[in-house]
Amino acid sequence: MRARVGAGLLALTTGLAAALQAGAALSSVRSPPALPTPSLTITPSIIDAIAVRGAFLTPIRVVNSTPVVFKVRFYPALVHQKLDGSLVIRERRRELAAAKKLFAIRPTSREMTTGAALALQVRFLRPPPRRRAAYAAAVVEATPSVIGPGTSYRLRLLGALLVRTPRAPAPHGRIASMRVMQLGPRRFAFCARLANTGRVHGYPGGLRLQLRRKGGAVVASGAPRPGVVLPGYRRDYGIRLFHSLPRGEYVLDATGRFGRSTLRARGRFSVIRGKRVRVSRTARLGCAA
Amino acid sequence: MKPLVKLSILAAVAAAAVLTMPAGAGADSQPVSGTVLSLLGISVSGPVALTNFAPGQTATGSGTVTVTSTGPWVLRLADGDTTNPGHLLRTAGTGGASALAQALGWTATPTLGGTGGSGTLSGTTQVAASGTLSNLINVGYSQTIGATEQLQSGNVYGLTVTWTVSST
Repeated sequence: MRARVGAGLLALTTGLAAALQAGAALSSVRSPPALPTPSLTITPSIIDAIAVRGAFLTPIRVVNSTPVVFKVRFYPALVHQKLDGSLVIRERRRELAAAKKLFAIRPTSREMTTGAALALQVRFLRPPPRRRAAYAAAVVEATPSVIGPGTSYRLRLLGALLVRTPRAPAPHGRIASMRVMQLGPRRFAFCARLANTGRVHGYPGGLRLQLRRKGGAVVASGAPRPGVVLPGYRRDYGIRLFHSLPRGEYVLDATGRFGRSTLRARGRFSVIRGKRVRVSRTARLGCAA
Repeated sequence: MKPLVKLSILAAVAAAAVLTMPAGAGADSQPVSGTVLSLLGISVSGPVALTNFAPGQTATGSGTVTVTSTGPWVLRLADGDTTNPGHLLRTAGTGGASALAQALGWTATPTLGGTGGSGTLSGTTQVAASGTLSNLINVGYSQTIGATEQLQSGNVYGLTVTWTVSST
């Protein structure tokens, strides 16, 4: 009898884990139809390097396999980082000029016909004053050469440029908040919001989120994808659960490392009548991951 | 079947396999593998022509955006025009309104998982969609045109949507 109960509990936990994994790798579960291959592409899309002043970074290969002839501009731009980890370029004239003091990109423009490819030369000039690292995006901005009347388009690809100098310090940071968000009756997102309090970018190592009932068994656990967080920015690292949670109190733990810092945080929340989430002082609402 | 008999049958099958193997095909193997590079790409289905474009109507149009990516991405859209962002401007013809009163509405729906969005186009970048790997996003546009808007037959109104994709 004891064995049967154990098996039942195991099945429940496994089901939750499977639901969790389904959320983490949703695209791999569905069978993708054949995508149209023509595209304007850059590779690599992220350059993470340790470099000295004046060093050339890995060239970025730009390929136009679309049937459209594009006028393409290439330039560096300073960036903000959003909570979901994406970069947004800073487009004020002063900021664009500042980016050109950090990185040089050649060529600066080119008409790219169908099948055209080129290698962008990216040179790290220097970090900003009193800094040991520089952050920007290599912007590839394409406009169709022939623009007809009506609604047209412009394409922008952002390649991340993350450069530390050899004497840059190690990253350090902390978990600023634990967060929970109900996305639907049977869909939850759990996040640890990591604040990079250091002077260089970094990636959380061994980050793990664990959800359990208060004083009870583990309901779910998972390892969020360890994407980069820039200095001075915050980023949400989360897992999703595609399963309803019974009423009760829950504890969400996060553990991991970030450079020299050990990450450890705990948040508490409740699921109340109507399957609604009620957060406490230790957990907040909203999750960008 | 006794275990000893079963074992001798297996030995005979193995010996026959060795005898039928071509000379030189035995020892070496050549592993072949490839490591995926970080790649980011984008393409759109082309300019969009809105149909039903007349006063008192809601003009609509659709297209697709393809994001090719080997990692998570976020797709944003904005209107780069600084004078009247989000609004279709007269690009051909004379007379009538120089710009539409209402901003262009949009929806973005990824077809391979991920998260879509909807909103009204403006000069500020908005998140249209996000996902983990390559995806095809259906994009719909809708333009509400007031019944008293001064539109002249044959004139063309348009704007340029800027699509920006970045890795996360």
